[in-house]
Amino acid sequence: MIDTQAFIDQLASRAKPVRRLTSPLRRTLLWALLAALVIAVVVANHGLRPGFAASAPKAIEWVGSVLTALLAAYAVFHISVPGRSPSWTWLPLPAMLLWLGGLGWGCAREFLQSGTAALAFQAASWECAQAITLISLPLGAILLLMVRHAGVVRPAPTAMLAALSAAAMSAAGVSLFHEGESALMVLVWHLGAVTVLSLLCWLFGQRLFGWIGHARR
Amino acid sequence: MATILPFQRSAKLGPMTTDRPAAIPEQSRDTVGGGGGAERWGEWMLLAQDGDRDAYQSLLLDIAPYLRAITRRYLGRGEDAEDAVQDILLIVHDIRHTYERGRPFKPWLNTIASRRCIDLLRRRTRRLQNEIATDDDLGEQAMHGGPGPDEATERLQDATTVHDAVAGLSHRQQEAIRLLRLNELSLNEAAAHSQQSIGSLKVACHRALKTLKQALAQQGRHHD
Repeated sequence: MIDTQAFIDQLASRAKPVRRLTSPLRRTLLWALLAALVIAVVVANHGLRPGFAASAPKAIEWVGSVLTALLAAYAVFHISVPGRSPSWTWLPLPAMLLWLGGLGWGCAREFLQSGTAALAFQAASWECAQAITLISLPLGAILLLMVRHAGVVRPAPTAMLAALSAAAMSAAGVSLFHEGESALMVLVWHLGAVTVLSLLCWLFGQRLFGWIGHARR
Repeated sequence: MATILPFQRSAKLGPMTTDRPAAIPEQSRDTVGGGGGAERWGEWMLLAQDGDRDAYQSLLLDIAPYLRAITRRYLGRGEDAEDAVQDILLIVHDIRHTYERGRPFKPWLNTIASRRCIDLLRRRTRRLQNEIATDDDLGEQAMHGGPGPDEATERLQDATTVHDAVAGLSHRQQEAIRLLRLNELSLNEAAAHSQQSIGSLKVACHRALKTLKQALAQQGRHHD
């Protein structure tokens, strides 16, 4: 181990100009734009589902998932910066409740209309969980790369929120072209995929940042 | 924290601290030794982000005693605390772009420092647990008679073989193995702690492992 004074001299000799971070709001907008582009390409390939938000519960569910994605991304850009409050982690919670409320309302409505048929398990709708996961990968990767310095700040919550944001945005994207599933299946697969991805990133956040950015063992 | 960790701004820092960079505003220099430490640090960091080496050096020299106080509080006095200071300085260097104009500098620095100290404490706990587990194994071995004379001789031979193989490596290769494999530093950290670049460390480590493999395989064949 070299002497700290000599170490400081070495670091100082490497002081090149760096580009400062822009505000969390601007970075959120930039990410949202990139995410919208990715989703637009996917939707253009599959075709937009007509009347994807025809009923009130579906509209609430869709708005809830988009808001969850945006607020989670905004929270990511806050908590990944040293010195900013970790309380920002809770920011997407109200939007998540709205999303969950829309899904719950949809389930209740279908149950009242069709009875137990609305609760039937549709294995084929597993496709939407796959689609959410696949679309989440580029969206999450972009977001994590934008906050790759978070490995030395708050790796686990940052990775979890990044996954939540990416998966919620993907779920909103999948709702634009995937059809034919009951509200319960949307609840199971959409929310299931989002929860699993978020938990995995929470568990492996440190390792993830070790690969893509700054993280110390 | 301010009462526990006062700024130890003093002559201890050596000649560098008296030789203030020309780029630093007069007003900032006047605050040296006063209560405006964190404000001054913020100003220096902004200059450092623009590539001002003098301001950057002043900042790092100025925060080092503050960081030392934090690391000693978490890790106690000793080499671990000083290693942690250097670790934190390296992290500050790596993510200096995340300091935002107009925001207080101290919370930014404190988050980095405390986070790193907690990581090091976790690592220390894991190491201790491993050591305890190894001690338990040894205790168990002792209870059951331990390795026999043949096994002990074989182990001694293996250790000698490894020692000879490592001694055969060049100085650069030995350093690369020590930093990257034994001390488990990242490439960036290892480069900062040695005179070698990241590229040459990678090459040295790769060649060293290859040489060791060949040497040990040869030795294995001799035994067979």
